[in-house]
Amino acid sequence: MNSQILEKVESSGVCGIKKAELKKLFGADCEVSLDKLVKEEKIIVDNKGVAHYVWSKDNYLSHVSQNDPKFKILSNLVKNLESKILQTKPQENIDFKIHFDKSISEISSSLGWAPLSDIRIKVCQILNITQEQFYSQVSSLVDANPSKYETSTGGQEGIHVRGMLHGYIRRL
Amino acid sequence: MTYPYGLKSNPYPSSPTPTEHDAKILGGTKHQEAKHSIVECISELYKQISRKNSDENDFRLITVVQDVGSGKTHLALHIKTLKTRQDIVTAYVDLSTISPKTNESIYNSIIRGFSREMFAELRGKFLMQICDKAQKGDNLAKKALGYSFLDRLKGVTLKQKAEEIIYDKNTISQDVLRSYLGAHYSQHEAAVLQNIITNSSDRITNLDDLHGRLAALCKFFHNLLGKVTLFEFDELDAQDSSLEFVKSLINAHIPASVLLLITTPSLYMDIQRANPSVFDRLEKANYKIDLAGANSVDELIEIAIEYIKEASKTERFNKKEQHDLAAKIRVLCDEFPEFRNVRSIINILNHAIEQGAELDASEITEAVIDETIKHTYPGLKIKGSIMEVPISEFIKIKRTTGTTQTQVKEAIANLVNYAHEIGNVSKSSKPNPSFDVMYSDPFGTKIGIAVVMNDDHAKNFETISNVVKSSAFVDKLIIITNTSIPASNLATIVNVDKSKVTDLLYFNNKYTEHKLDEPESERVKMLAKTISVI
Repeated sequence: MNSQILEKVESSGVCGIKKAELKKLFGADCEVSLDKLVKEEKIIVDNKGVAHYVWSKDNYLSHVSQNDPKFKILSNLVKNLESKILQTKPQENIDFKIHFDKSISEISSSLGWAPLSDIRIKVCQILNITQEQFYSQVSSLVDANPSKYETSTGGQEGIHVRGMLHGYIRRL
Repeated sequence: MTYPYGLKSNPYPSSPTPTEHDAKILGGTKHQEAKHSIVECISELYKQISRKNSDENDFRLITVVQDVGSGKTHLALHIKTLKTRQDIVTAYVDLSTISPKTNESIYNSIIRGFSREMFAELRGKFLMQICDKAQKGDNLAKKALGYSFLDRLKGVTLKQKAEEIIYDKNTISQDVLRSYLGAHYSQHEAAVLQNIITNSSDRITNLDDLHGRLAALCKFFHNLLGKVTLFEFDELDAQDSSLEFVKSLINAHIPASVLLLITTPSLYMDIQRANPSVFDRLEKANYKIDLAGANSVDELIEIAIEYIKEASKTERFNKKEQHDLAAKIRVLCDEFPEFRNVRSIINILNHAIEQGAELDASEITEAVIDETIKHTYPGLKIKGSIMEVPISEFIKIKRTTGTTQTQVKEAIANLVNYAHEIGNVSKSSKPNPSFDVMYSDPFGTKIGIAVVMNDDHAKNFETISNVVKSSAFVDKLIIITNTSIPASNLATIVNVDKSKVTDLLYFNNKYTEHKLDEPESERVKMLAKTISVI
């Protein structure tokens, strides 16, 4: 019954569906299913006028952003914040690449290979980023520039390629 | 069974590590360059010693350091199998197969690493040398060949006696031979020759024995066969026993020999930590073979094509087919890092050729690759694909995508058509030149979509600014673009990445061919949602 109720609620779109109408369609027993779906955060029950209405999560978001002025303002603020983050991100990437490349040349052996763990310590200290952020950036950088970097297996930490830990890197 | 490209057999090796037979073919510019460097080193040494007795200055060290699966072993075995160069004799030794690494086990592996023919040739030359000495009146040499008074009476020549031993028709007395060798050669040389002539082996008790015998071997290969000896040690690790042996071998300066050490960057670093003394010696190698870029897509393509070219000497595998296969490999490698490695690409192509034969395909088609990946890498999927685009379709789309903006515009228009058909939206019959598509959602909201997907991002930025000016004509403006721009209050910016474009183009192909089935229609809805069409 849960899936049938969920399908009906989703098909009701941004307007939602009256709880009473659902009870008419699926019987009074549907209350238990509705509670379960609410707990699973698959549906939202809220007042519209004097009646209880039911929405799917996405549709409820659209509903409040159209009808609730407070939510509209908050939503715009979040969007502005997002755009600011997007604007600053490229600069962060450039900084990372500069420090990353510099560290490779400083740490590398005569063959050009450098352990990612040593580079990580250096770059994280300079840019004040976490280990996860460092390896996420390294993965993106290596993936986007396969002709500029070469990785090699081994080491205690690094990035995973072909299911193998690659803990060494060099610039080509 | 007929294989693709008219091949009679599968040219790609199936074993995860190459064999000498597989290594006869060597493709790829980087690998060829590495081969030429090694051959150059050997030739230069050969020239230096060809008209004199070799000494301790006639020793060279080469290192090959590269990641697993990049073709190092293949290169080493290829050098060993070079038939065109008659001036080298090579022993290939995989150090990972020796345990424990004692002087004796290492020596035995080196001996096994040479080809049998080389020892047979050496044995023959040496027995003829004894014969020469016997003919000049050396009684010990005569005894060694078992030449008796009776033989003389019967008219048997010394040469015939020597040939009988060479062709195993007669045996040689171990004791007499030992006496002969003891009188003419040093202890180590005598031991090596005794073993070669009688096809036997004896114990190596210490490092001095090991070096002495290797030096004797190299001396015989040089003096009797006119060859430089190449010792190839693969899988060099940082274990004490390996490093102790390598250090001693470098220090021993075995005349007329080249020592080629093969390892990975990780183990090379381990050696640096474990034994700086050995590391310093490796750093001073005469040649450091750098296979940088050995796993680049261009290199992989060259290697892959070389196998078929070698196997199919006819015109069957023509330029067009080569170009076609190269494009497919490029798409595969770009999308799946799993294949960006010599070993991996050879493996997948081996399976693809077999699959092609089963499907009776005349070439490695997209469908063949799809089937191969399904069987060999069942977990492999196109990253970020909502439409679950099959790999065959993905390769086709990637190879045929021309002007992306035009194709994405068509795909978006058809996505709205589809949403209209299933009742999610209502498409406008009056087009507006400012937008690519116009429609209304179920609440009557008038929506306009503009697709801005040029490669020139600066131009995209300008186009988007112009489109935004027309936002007043609609209640909601959606801009679909590949350019990263800040969110705007006047328009919903939807950034589409490569996987989203592939999804859209795949949907468009299916929609125009009327081939959308039920599970796919659900995915289309999801796709439409992710780009804010519904």
